[in-house]
Amino acid sequence: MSDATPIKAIGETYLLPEGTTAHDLTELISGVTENKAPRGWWVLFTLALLLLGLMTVCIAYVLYMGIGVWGNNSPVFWAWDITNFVWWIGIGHAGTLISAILYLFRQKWRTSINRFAEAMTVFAVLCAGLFPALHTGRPWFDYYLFPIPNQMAMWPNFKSPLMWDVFAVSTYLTISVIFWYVGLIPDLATVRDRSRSLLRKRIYGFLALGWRGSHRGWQHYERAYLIFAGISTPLVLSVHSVVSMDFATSVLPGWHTTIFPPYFVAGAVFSGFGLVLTLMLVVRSVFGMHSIVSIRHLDLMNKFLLATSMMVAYSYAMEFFIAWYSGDPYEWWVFYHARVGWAQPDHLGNWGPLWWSWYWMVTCNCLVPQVFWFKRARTSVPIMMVASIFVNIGMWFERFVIIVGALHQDFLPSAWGTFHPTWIDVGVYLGTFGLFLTLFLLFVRWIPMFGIAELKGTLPGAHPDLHHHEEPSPALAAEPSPAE
Amino acid sequence: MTTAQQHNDDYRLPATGYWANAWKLSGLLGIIGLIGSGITFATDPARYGYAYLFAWSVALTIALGGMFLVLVIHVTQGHWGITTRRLAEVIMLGIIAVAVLAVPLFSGIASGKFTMYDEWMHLPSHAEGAAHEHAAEGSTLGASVAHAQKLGEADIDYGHPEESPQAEQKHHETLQFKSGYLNQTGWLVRSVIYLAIWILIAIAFFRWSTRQDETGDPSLTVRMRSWSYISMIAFSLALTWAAFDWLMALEPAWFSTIFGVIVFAASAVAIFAVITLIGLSLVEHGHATKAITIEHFHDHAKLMFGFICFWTYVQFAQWLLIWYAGIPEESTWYQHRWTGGWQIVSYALIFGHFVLPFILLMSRNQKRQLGWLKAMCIFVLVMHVIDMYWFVLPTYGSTPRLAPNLADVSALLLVGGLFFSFVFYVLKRVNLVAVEDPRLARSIHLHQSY
Repeated sequence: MSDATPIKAIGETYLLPEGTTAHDLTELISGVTENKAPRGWWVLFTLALLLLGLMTVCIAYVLYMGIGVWGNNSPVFWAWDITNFVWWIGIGHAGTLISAILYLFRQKWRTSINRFAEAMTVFAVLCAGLFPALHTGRPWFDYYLFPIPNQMAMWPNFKSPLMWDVFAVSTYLTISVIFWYVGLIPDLATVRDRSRSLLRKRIYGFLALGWRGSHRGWQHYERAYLIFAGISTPLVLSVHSVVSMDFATSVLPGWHTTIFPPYFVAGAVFSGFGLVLTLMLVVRSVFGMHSIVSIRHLDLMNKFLLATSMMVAYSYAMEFFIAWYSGDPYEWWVFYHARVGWAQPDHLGNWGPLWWSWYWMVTCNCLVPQVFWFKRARTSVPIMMVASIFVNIGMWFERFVIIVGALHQDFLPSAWGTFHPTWIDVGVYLGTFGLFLTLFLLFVRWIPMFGIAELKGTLPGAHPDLHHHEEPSPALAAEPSPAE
Repeated sequence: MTTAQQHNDDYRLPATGYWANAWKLSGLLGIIGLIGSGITFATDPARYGYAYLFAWSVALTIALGGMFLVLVIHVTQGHWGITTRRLAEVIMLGIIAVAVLAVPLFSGIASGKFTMYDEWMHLPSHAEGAAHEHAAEGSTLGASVAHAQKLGEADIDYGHPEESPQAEQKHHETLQFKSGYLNQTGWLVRSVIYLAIWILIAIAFFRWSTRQDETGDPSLTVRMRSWSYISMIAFSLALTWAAFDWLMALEPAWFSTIFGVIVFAASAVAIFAVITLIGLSLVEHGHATKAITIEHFHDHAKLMFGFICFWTYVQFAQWLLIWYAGIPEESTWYQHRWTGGWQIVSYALIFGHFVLPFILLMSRNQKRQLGWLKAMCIFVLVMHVIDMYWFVLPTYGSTPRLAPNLADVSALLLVGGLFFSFVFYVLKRVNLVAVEDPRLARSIHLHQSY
């Protein structure tokens, strides 16, 4: 019995439909780049371009007027911009988790989603980077962030977590791009070899870096892939940990708590899986990829959502318990008053003005994913579609609750205030969806959106044991071989 | 009768030999520890209480690590760990021994002989506390801040609130505030609940697994999987609050949201070291050699390496955030582990629990050299013991002072000896491998390209 043979008695099934051949996979996946785009793609692409236009207009306006056109004001100096930054960075995490960590854990089902999610990582980090870059107010001076000699003889403050962010995010982007590209090479060569027109052949040939599929080539490729997986794994943890330290190194109640680094990482993976699932469901139906992304894959992704939702809920629980246990009245105020809206109103007789956002967060992140305890929900496309959108909303609210929620009422009641977004805030945020979706739709259209070579590796025929164990050899007969 | 049942005997420890007698050897160590414990307990029961809590925490974290491993194999439906799962199950069942060994601990605490939680367990009433302390005034912040505000920067002696009556009053108020949670009755009730949850999980999964050995029923695999999810949640919540109650409460004014995760990470590191060591020794003595191969040792070594990194990550997260913010209420914990000689232990943990294993276990070759792996596992296990020592002992006395003594060694021998005696005795009575697991053959023929 080999890895390739599912054990029916305990509910195992094949990853891909039985009888799928390597050729089927090549045809199906390369076909997307060769045939005309389906109408659904054009609809989405038009929408994406409209949003991209919105982003361009809004950002141009911000650059012209300055960030005063956002709602940020005393005491809430970080608001939607940083919320969006953290949200987009988080979206990227699922890609790295799926491509690197699940690879190290030998989770072969990842091959149906990894390429897709890796691409999302790259585009999400690009969107994320926009916000702090704009928030500096004068983005043309952003190069001050890098430790390069400049005319002001200024040197970055290496003790600042914001500085660490610059390095963490740029390293993450670099490695993610390289990792993604290395994985693409054999598939680009496949598309090259199938090209009918010279132009296609030239372009894909250039991108495939002279891949010949030789034994030696594969050996180097596998080794490089493993090394990149090893490098990316700590990056999944480090990037969002550093993002969490932007907040947690301060002494602000609601920001300063020791569980922040792993809590942010779990939240990032959770939100990333949410968006991967949303987009996967759309693309799967637009391009008819139901055989590659089967219900079994979606089931597993939903289990992941449930698991990471639990981790996020655990972190919330820790925060609430310790906010009480610490005996710190400021912690109490932030968690039980400003978030839950519990206990006494403030000196003006008001509840915290933003308490409703906490209820959004808990409902979307902790309650909604509980439906995935039921197999019926995990295997129902409409339910998971709705749930995954709730997860995306909930994780945005989580960052909003943390950032704005902690800033609007800190130590001194005289310094309290609240926050109202402007239409430019909304426009920039919606606009980044345009940037993301434009890049993403171009990717699904022109680059093999599933790892063809890796998917072939999961076919039963690819397993070295397939024929080996069919008849036990005398040496093996001495070993226990149950259920055979 | 299946082939597996015919070969069950291959996976039983023989009636004689090293492993058949391991439980006696371990028990002997326990008895030696008992003698030492008798002497040291008679000399200084309070000091012995700390030593016992430390030793008990070591056994506890190993048993909980075993439970984590069993549950995680079911949750993830992995096949890499099927051949060693029985070892983890037996260690998990050791939680029964841990619960029995908790009886002296809990009765010592209840009877007042062990004083580590006295600060809050025998908190004077509010009136009583206020009577001999100064009247409350000023900030409602924690003790150390009030202390700092009173005395000015120059006089701050971080983490020694007992030096100022005002600060002591604040400290008292903080404990008074927490007494709804931190009180003796609540603590004892919760402690029993944690142990009950774990024992329930341990017995259920051990029973189902050993029953499958006899019946070969694959539906038991499905049953274990379906119960593993909820068990994992119960396990981790109990572990978190147990870490709060048994370890964090040693410094009742201190708090950290990541504390439960840190104790969990320590358990996970320990279990991979223990399982690898037991597995290597079994194979060396000719048991289960076909089932537990170098591929399994390699996988365990990788996971141990991974959890060593995870342990470092969560420990570092806690330290960095507390250091960076520099709030006195929080930094006391590190103050206690950075003075009175404890600095050496802290450094030892940084290098021994992270830097060295990180370098010495990174490459594939190192993990597959079984002699080397064995040495590293012993080293990691020693570091785990030091880690638990570092959690408990700095809280002994009014000022932290590194002073290991016979009590620590005796308690460790007593608790460790009896714990492993129980584990090895159970091991003698079951198959070394879950012989009827449907994925067993797949696990035996584990392939890995990396």
